[in-house]
Amino acid sequence: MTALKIENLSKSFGGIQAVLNYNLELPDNTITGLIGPNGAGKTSIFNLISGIYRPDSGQVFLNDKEITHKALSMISRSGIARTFQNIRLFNQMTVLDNIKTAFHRRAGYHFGETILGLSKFYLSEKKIDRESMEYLNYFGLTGYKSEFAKNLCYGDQRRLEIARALASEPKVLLLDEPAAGMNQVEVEELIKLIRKVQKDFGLSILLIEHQMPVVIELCRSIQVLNFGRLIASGNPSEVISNPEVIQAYLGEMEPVI
Amino acid sequence: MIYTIIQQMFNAIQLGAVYALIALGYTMVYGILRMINFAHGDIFMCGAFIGFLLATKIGLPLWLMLPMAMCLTALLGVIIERIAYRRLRTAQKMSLVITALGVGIFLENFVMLMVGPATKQLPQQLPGSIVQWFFKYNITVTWDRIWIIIISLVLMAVLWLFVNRTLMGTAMRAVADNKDIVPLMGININQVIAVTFAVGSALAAAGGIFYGQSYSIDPYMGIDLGWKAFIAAVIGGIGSIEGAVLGAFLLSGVEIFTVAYLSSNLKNGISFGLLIILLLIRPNGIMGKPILKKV
Amino acid sequence: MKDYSNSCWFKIRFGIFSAVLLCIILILQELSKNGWVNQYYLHILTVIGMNVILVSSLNLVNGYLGEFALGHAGFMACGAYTAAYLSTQLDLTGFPAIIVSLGAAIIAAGIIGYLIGLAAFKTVGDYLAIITLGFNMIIVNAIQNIDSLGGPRGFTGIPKYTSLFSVAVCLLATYYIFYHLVNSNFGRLWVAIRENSLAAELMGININQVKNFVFTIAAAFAGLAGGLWAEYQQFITPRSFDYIKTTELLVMLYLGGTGSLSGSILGVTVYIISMELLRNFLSFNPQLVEMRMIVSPLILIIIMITRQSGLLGNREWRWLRPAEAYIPEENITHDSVKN
Repeated sequence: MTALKIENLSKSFGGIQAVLNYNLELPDNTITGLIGPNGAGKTSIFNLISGIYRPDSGQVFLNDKEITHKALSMISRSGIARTFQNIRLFNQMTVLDNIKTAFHRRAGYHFGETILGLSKFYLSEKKIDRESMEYLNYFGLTGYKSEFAKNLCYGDQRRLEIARALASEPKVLLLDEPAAGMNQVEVEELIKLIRKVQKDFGLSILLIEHQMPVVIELCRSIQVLNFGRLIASGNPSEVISNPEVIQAYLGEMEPVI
Repeated sequence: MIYTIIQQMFNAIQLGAVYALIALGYTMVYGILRMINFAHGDIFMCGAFIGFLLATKIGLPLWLMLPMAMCLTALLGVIIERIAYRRLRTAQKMSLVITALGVGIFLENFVMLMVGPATKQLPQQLPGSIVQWFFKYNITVTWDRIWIIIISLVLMAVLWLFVNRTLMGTAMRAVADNKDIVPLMGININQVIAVTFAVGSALAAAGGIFYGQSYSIDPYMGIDLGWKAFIAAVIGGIGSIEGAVLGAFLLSGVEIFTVAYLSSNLKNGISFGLLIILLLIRPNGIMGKPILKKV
Repeated sequence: MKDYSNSCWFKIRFGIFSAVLLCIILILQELSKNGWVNQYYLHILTVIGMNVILVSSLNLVNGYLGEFALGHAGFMACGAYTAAYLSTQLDLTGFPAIIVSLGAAIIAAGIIGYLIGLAAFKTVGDYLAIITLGFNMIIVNAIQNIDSLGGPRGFTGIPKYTSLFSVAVCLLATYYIFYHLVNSNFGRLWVAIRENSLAAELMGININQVKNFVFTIAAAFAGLAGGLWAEYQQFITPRSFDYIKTTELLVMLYLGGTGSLSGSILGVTVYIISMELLRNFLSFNPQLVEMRMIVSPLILIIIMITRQSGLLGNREWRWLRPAEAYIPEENITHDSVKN
């Protein structure tokens, strides 16, 4: 069963072809990596999937339902969550409130119950509190629950962003360079975390990453993008030995292998 | 019929010239700081009163009073920027806007305390005689109006040359384009911003004095005129100099013809209605460039 | 506090506080009838109460939602004129008249707010400020052109229904509602939109819908305050609801600090009392009384430069903070997380 299927997705800005005929089949419960040199169009693909950009042509299916031209908020409601290359948290909110925001679709109380302060409101809030704390605990952030998100250190902010994305109960998770700016030890922890999250939550993950070890460790299949085009795809060992890929990366990837 | 329309056109051009002189200050400051300088209307008012004091207390003739008032008002603009705005440049935009509102109220009330709430009349210093050639067609146009329109257009042309043909003007456009990069090029950004405020305030002072040639002035006139000029700047596309001038003449035309053919009570409603409709159709104004959102 | 199940203890606290406050006000009102308490103090308290309703509702939009709306006085005008018209035209007196006129004021301002929000939230940032200001001007201009509302001369002969007591009741109701809203999912969405609207939208929040919702609520409560105002002053003119009033509200809001319900109370109280003190303090010289007009904008400028978040930006007094979520360690499971 494919969780996310993309057919012939294209997008150009002015004269620049950012993405051309991009195809993807993301099976259930797997992690697929998306790599390529800077400016290859990786983040553009994420923006197209999540609806920030409107595609010029092509279709996106989530669980066989088309979501291509839906409104931004509707796309995420249908089960896609993402993180950002430059972290986008709700900085002036506490860590706990960041997570609680994700519960807005299943709050369990409506406007009238809120303004009257009925006990249903209080009970539902309590339930949201407890569940949010479970997410925080899972990501080891319990100690920071009353801290403003902006005061967390970089690695914790990354984890909080993933936690927040998960709290909205997605089926597909898009991770945009989660290991950016992390050191060796943090990267290894992150690899473990993503693998654990994928297993525990039964997610399908599409991962953009520059650090090759992360991709090779995590992904069963990898797609390589250059100048908006797919130049290779397959399992990690196939991809990294592909001459075209080596050419695209020349000088950038060699030391890693 | 056609002659009354031409008559109204003259009125519209004169009012439009005043709007344009104020709107230029709004648009230049917005272009550079991305800030709506809500105190600008009151700087315009201060310019008119500085001119008034120079003309009545010292008795300067217009050709001397106008440049002096422009210089003094430019100084006022620079001082306001230095004291109130500079420290907030990196702060939230809202605090900057609120500060500007505060500066505006302060100027209004300060002038009110100094000169009293009564309306004042600038002494008539331009020849008020009627242009005979127009009068043949029953159009009453006085020479002072012609002069006001000509001087205003000259000032706008000078501004255009300054922004597009001088080094400082280039620096201003560079700051408007990208404030973070410009200091790396060796440009003193504080100086550029100060010059922007000075030029904007000087133009507003000229607008104030021209306004005072045909209407009475009072400490609160900056609110109304300032908002009108601001609408003009937004209609034209805030941040664009040509747009501000275009918007000013468009707005004054709409206003003058509303008063002439509909009702003077509807003047504000129609000009704000025009603003809202335009913003909904073309959010960046007629000449404004859309801002791209980077994700 | 450790007992997590006791989180509706705000209601108990709030109930006691309200009862005590209303009793005090009733006593004060009785005393003032005999002349034992100066009527002037009651007047100041009433004005503070009405302005707190206005400023805290403006706070929802400008503080919690983080949009810069400049047309709040327009909604106040809608409420004021609706209440004024109904209280003179309807064949009602006393309590039913108050309920009907204020209820209509809330609904009218809410509807106008909703309609304006539909158009205004097509824009963001500076343009939203301009467009809301434009609507404020249009509302004022429209009223000036309606003869049955008195036109530019103003609306006279409104019966005096508003007392300190009724203002206090309305204020308490407003805060009860606002407290629950800002500490609920609704309020969290507003702050989320303020902090990062793209991230909020990608969490499935329909931003424009939420913004318009907040705007409608804020307008409705401004309408309530406007209605109270009309029935207190007994005379209203369109000019008293133009952008100068909006500016005054902004000054009080930013003085107290945005994103904080306590800040609105503090800002209004400090502003109005200091204005009155200044008036009394300078009263030996009539010319100096006018000096307060330049003192208030100076205070605002100084506060903005030295303390940008206002007196209480994004912080609450303890009694307006929700009880902290306390969950014993052993109760944290991963059941719901792991499905």
